[in-house]
Amino acid sequence: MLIALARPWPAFLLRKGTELVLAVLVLIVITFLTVHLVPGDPARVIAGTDASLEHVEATRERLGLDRPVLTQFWDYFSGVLTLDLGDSWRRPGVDVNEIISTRLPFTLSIAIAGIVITIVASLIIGLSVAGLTRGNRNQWLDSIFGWVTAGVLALPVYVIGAILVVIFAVNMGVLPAAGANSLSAYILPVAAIASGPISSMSRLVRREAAIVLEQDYMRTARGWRLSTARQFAKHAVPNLLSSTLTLSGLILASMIGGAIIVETVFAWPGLGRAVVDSIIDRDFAVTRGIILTVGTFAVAMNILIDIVLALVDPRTLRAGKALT
Amino acid sequence: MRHAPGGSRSFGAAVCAALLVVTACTTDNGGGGTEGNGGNGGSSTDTIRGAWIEDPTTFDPALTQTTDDYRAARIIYDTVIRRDLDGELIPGLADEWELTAEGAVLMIGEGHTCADGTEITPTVVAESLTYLADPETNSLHTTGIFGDGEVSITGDDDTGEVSIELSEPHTDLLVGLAIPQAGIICPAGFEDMEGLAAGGVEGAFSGPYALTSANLGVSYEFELREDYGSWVEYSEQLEGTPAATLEFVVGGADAVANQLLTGEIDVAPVNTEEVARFEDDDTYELTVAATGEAYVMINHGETSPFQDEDLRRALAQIIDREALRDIAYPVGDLIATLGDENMLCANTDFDLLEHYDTDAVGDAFEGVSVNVIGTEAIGQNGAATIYVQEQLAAAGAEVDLYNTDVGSWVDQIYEEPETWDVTVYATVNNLGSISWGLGTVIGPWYVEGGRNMTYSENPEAAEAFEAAMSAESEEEMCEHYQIAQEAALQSVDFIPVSMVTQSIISREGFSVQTPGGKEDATTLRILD
Repeated sequence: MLIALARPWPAFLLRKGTELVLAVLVLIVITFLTVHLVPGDPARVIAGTDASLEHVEATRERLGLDRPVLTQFWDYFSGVLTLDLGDSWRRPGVDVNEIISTRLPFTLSIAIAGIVITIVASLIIGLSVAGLTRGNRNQWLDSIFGWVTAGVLALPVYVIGAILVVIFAVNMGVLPAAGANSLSAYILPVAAIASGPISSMSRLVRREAAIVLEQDYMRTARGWRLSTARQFAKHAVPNLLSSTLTLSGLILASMIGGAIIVETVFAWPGLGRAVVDSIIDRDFAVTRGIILTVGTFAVAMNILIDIVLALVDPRTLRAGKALT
Repeated sequence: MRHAPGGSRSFGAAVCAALLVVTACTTDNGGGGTEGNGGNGGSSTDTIRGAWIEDPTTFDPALTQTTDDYRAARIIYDTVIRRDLDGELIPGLADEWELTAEGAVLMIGEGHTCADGTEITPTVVAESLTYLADPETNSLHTTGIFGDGEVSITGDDDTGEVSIELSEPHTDLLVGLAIPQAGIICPAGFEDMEGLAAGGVEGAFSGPYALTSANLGVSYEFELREDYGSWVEYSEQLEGTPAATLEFVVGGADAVANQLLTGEIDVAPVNTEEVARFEDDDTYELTVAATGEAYVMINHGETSPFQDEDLRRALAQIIDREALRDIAYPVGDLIATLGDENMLCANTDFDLLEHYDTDAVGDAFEGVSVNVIGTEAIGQNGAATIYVQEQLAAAGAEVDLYNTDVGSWVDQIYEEPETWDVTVYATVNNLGSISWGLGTVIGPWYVEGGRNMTYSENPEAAEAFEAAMSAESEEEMCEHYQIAQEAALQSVDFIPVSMVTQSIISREGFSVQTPGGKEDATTLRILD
C-alpha cells in the first residue's frame, strides 16, 4: 500500500506546488495593476482634496508613482519575494505587514468560528433531517427544511446581518450592535457569516446522509440495534466527511473573502473592512497586500483540501486529480 | 430504535443552557462602560464613549489630513487661540494677540504645561509653529494658516511674546492658529518624531487628554491629564464635567447609529439619513457642526458651455437651492456665499443670487451638451448631482452624468477639466474662514499654483479677494471680501447652496458643543 502511494505523491505535490506558485504570480501582477487600472490619481487622493499641485507632486514622488511602471513593478515584486510589502501610503511609517497582522486575527477568528459552527450545525441539522425523513416519513419536515434553508440562502449576508442587529442588539439589547470590544461581539458577525453556509452545507449533508442511511452497512448497524448516535457517529459521519470537508474548505476561503460585507455591517476591524477603507482612500499598498494575502490563503486552502482528500481517499491521487 | 425523545430533551436543555449563558454574559452590550441599552448613562460614569470613522493616520498635528486626525489632534494638543461657541476668537495658550502688517504678535499665558510637566513658554510655542510653517514638514495646512510667503517665528521668554512675521500679508493667520492642525507640540515630541506620529510620546501633548491606548481598527482611549489647568473659558460656562476617560471606537459610519441606540456609545456623528431614527426620542440630542460649504461648481474653461455668463445665469435659474439643500445637507443653513452668517465677512444678501425661475430660462439649454459629474458622497447615492442632471434635462439640455467615488471625482475635477462642466462641490473648510471657499472659485487657477478649480476669469473679484487677504484691519478686509463676493455672484461664477453639516447625536446625560461650528471633543461633558 505504501509503495503504491509513494509514486503518485511526488508528482501530485509538485503539481500542487506549481499551481500555488502560478496563482501567486498571477495575484502579484493583478494586485500591481490595480494601482494603474482603478480610476483616479492615488497621489491626489492621498494628498487630500484641497492639496496644492506642489503637494500632490511631492506625494507622488513619496509614493514612487513618478517612476517608470516596470521599475515600480520590480520594486513591488522583489518586496513580495522578501515578504516586505512596504509602508502604507496613507500612514507613512506604518508597515503593511503590521496592518495585516493586526487585522488578520479578527477576520480569521470569525471565519474559523464560522466554519466550525457551520460544520457542526450542518452535520447535526442535515443528519437529523435525513434521519427523521428516512423512508418518506415526516415529509412536512423535509418541506420546512427546504423552505427555510432556501430562504436563508436567498438572503444576502448584509440583510441577515441587519436583521440580527435589529433583533438582538437594537430591540432585545442582549448583544452589541458592532465593534470588537468584547467576546459577545463575536456572536452576531459569526451568526451572520455562518447562516448561509449552514443552509447550503446542511442541504448537502441531508442529501448525502439520505443515501448513506439506505446503504447495507447502515441497515446492518440498525440490525445490531446500535443507538442512533452510534450509528451516525461510527458509520454515517465518516462517509459524509469527504464531501463536507471539500465544501467546508471552499466555504472557509469564501468566508474570508466574504468577510468584507460582514465586517462592514458590524464595524469589525478585520481585513475586509481594511481593504474597503484602503480602496476608498487609494491606499493601494494596503489593498494589494491584503488581496495578495487573502488570495494566497484561498489558493493554499484549496491545495490543502486536495492533499487531505488524497490522504483520505487515495483514488483521487491515482485519478491524477483531487475532487476539487 | 426510537430513543430520540430522551436525547432530544437533553439536547434541547443543553441548547437552552448555552443560550442562557450567552445572554447572561452579554447583557453588558460589550461596551464595558456606562449602562446598556438606552439607559441614562451620564452621571454614573466618568467615561464618554464616541466613535471615529477610521484610524487616525497620524498624531502629529502638522501632518494631519483626515477628519479623525483633526479630532484626535484637538483632544491632545492645545492651540494658541481658540474659537468661542459663537465663533469669536478667544484665548487659548495665548492670552492676547495683535494682528500686524507683518504678521502677528501673541502673548503666551503663564501656567500652561505639557503632559510631562514642561512649561509651555514662548520658545516652546515658537518651535512648534516653526515646524508647522517649515516647507520641509510638507504640511497640508501651512499655506492656509500662514499664506504663500516666507514665515519667521521667534519666541521671547522674557517678554512672553511670540512674533510671527510673514513676507506676504495673510489675514487668515489668526483663525488658522485656532485650528487643531496648529496644535502646539511640546519639546518631547521633537525628540522622537516617529513616536510623535504614532501618538506614543506622552510628553508631546499640550492638550487636556493624553493618548493611553491605541488599538488599530478597534478603539482609542484618552485619559484626562491630572495636572491640566488650561481649560478654555468660553463666554458661556459648559454644563457638566469633563470625562476622565474618552474612548473612541473605530467603526463604519453605518454602524454608529445602532451603537448609539443600544447604548454602546454615548456621543457620535451619524450619517444624515440616520438622523431620523433619533428625531422622535427626546433622550437623544442633535448637535450640528459645519464642516464646509456646498455649492454648484461651474467650469468656465474653454471646453465648457458655461464660459457663457448667460448660460451660467440660466443654470442658476433652474436650480432650486432649497430643494438641492434638502437633498444634499438637509440640516444645513442656506448660504448667500461660501460661508454662513457666523463667518466673518460672509455676504448675507440673498438678493445678490439668481432666483429660481425656470420660466425665465426659455430655450437657453436647447441643443446644449452638458457633462455633469458628481460623487455618491453628496446626497444619498449622489442624489445632489442627479438633481442637477434632471433640472438640466428638463430645461432641454443633453446631459451626461458621471457619478463616482470621492477619489475619482476629485481627481477628475483637478486633472481632467475638459471632461466636466458642472458638479455639486463641498469644501472642507478647516479654517472656518470665508477665504477658503472663495479661493476655490476666485483668483489664481489651480494649474497656476492657486486654488481656483473653475477657470473663472473675474478680474474685479480676483483683485478684491487679493486685497482682502492683505488688509490691515477687519473692516478693510470685509469691505474687500464683499466686493469680491458681489462681483462673483453677479456674474454667476458659482451657485451657493448650503453649509455642509455633520450631525452629532448625544445620548441623555452627555453633551457636546461646536465652537465656531466645528466639532470639538474637548467640549464633551457628562451631565449631572
